[in-house]
Amino acid sequence: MPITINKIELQNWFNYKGDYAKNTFEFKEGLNILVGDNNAGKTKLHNAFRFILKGEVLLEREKVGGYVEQKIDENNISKVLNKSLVNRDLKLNDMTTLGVKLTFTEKIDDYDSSTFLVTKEIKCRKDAQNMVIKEYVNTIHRIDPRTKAPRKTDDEFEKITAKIIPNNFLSFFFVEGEQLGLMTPLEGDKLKDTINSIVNIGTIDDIENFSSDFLREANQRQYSIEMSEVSLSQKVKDDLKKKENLRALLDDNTGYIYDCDEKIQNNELIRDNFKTAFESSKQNKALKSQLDSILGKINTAEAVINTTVNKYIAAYMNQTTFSICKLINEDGVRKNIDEYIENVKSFIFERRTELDSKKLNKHETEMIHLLEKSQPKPEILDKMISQDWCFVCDNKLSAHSRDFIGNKLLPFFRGTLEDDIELTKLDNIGQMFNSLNLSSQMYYGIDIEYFDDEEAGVIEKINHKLELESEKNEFINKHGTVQRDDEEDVSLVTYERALRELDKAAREKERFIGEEKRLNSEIAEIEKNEKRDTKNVSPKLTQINSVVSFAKLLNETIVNAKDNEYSEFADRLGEKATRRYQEFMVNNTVAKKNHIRVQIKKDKKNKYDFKIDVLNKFNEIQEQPGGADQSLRRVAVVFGLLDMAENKRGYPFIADAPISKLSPDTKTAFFKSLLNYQGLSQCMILNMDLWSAEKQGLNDIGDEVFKLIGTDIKSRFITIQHNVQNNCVDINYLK
Amino acid sequence: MELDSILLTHRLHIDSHYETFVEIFCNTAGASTTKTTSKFVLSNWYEGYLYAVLLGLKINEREPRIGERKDKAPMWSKNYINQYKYAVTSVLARKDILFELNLLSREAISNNFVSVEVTLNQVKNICDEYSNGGVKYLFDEWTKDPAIFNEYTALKKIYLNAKPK
Repeated sequence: MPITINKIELQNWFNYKGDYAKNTFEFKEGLNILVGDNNAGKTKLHNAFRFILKGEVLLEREKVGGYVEQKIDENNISKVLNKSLVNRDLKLNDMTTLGVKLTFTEKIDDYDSSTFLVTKEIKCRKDAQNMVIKEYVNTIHRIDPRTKAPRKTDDEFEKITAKIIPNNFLSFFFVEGEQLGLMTPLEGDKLKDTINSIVNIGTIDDIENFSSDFLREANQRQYSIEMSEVSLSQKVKDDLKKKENLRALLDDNTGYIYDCDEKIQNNELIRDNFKTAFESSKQNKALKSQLDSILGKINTAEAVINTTVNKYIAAYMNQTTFSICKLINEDGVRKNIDEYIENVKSFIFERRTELDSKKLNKHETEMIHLLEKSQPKPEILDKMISQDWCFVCDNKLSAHSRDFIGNKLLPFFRGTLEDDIELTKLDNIGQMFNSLNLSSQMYYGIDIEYFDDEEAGVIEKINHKLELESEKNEFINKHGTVQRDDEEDVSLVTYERALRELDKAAREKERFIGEEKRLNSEIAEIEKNEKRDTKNVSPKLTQINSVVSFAKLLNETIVNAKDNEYSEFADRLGEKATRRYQEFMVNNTVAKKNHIRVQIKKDKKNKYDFKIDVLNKFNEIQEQPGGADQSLRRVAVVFGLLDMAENKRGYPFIADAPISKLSPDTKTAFFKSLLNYQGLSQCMILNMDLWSAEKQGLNDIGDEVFKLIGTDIKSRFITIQHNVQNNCVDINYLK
Repeated sequence: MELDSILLTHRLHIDSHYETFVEIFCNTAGASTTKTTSKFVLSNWYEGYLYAVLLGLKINEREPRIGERKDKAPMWSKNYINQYKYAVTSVLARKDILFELNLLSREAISNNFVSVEVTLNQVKNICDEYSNGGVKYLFDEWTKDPAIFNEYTALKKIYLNAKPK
């Protein structure tokens, strides 16, 4: 039944601050165009529809980037809830509600309709860290047609929201421009299911299934009757049994061949889809490896420089080189030390001479030996000197005697001549200086060149690195920075795996075909040798033979009819879609001559699949990924299908930025086509293509489109602007 | 006592006042730790100390100790004993130092010299003062130009350009 969305109300939803009353969009049953600048709130509004229809919102992925559909939970609610509310207005432990309300009407017939109010809310509380979800509330109200008062019902929430757009149609009717290509399937079972759901082409499939089952059943019955025939000899029965087994094997084998075909087909599709990406990934990878090699060389060069520099700096203080001292002209040091050592030597010489003068001469030695027996103790001699009196002759000591006793006899008897303190001091100092001088000599010798040589080595290495740097810059100028693409590995792995799988499947298929030939020849051999007594055939067998013949004929006829039906459908869908497509492209002199071709492909098991392409006037397939051709091809096919459904399915078409890649003329044509289009019950197009950020109003195309729909009572033109002052969104209905 | 044995009992001096600054051109913490922010640095404070002593001698700048190092300083290293002896020799080559140490005349030696150990301890203190003088010079230069140590020939250039006061 046709559905019309009457209004949507938002509460604290992204930048829609405030309660429902402040953020209400009312829609008309025809074309509703919503325009606004970047970040005005268009995609956020689209997300509100998504929240009701799918229970999820499209949010940016953290770290990895890109967008992904997520359920709202405590981890991401702060992204959805109005930031100003969370950061400024709410206090700790304050409760708030995030919610979306959607009112829609389901037209039952010309006289009767039901209106529903769908509410999806999340109640939460502000915590010290983040928002804590307290409750998820989903409610359904029916609006009383007379009083307009909402009445709460026990209807299942998902069942009612599925009325707006059923889940399997969401990818057709609820689209997000940037991802239009990905979200609207044009190949495979999903497309076929959707086609069947819209236009009921699948009925003939059921009939064909029935006739196949009927034929299979008849064959089985024929076999069991033949086996029970008494007139048949045991050999014929054995042959029949063998033949039946071989046929079962043949059936299985055919299934395997089909599986191989399917594998081949799937992998061919992957191979073709990924071929361009693979080539560019391969090229990118090769370039990247070249760049990596240069970068590697630069890293090595840098490491070599570091090592050389470290070695060079270490040589400043190294035990063997200690080259820092080579920077000083150490002549002064050497001269002074040598001089001082000479001085100390002369001190020592002086002292030794002094001491030598105290030593006994030959005559004195002889005399001491003679005196040895009555040798006076040094203490007595010491006393004699101190009292200046000779205890032997009891007389005053003469100067000569005092000198002789003090300087010769006392040192001799005390043995201090060889242990002179001053001499020891001087010797120690001399040894210290000699030792220091000896150690230091290893470093003496001016060697400024040493530094120059070492520096030349470092400079050479630095120059080598600079050469590599310039090679890197040249490479980057020529090939760019060759950024690593996250999908690079995906394309390489996927493409190469597809090639391997293709090869494997082709070999397997060959094996199964060989097996098929062998089984067929075995069956032919049995049939050739079959000898039956046809005269004594029972009426039952005759009857079943007729049924089998009939079943075969019926099945063939139905399969042919199905072929015709599908081909006819494909042609019609191609025509309808082409009409829509050419309407959109009316201003494009080249593309308006393109047409959409719908092809039917049939496999061995009589299973059908659709393939949809845009062809130019030379019947060449247009395959520019992400181009306007591909974008509008999908919209055209959806509209074409709805044309064929003859208004039986009335779901609202809600699209965010579906025309962002089109030229201004095509944009106008697109809106014009939508305005005249009766296939959809309601259209909501959110876009910024009609808005001028500079003027803060509609741009030229916007004015043109506004004029176009201004007179249509079933259409509405809404502008969305972010009000920075009040931190909310201004919604205006242009008249 | 042998000369080396005496020198190895000397504790490596680093003035606490300059402890943070010297990390800019010398890794003071030890080989296992990461080097400082500057790329071109001496690998330990034995090297830094010797560099500062020779620089202090070149510019004839002695600075008395300002503060003691927070952690107890290690004994002198065997790996740097010859270089240390070179520094000591360079100090002892100065007549003013010899005079200060009472080593210039025979009479002064006779009256004041106690032992090689005592003399070397006195020389060590003088080395510490020259080291402080060298570090102060580096600090002043760095204050004028904070990028002064960022070149691998920095230590050589500073040394060659340093003029006696």
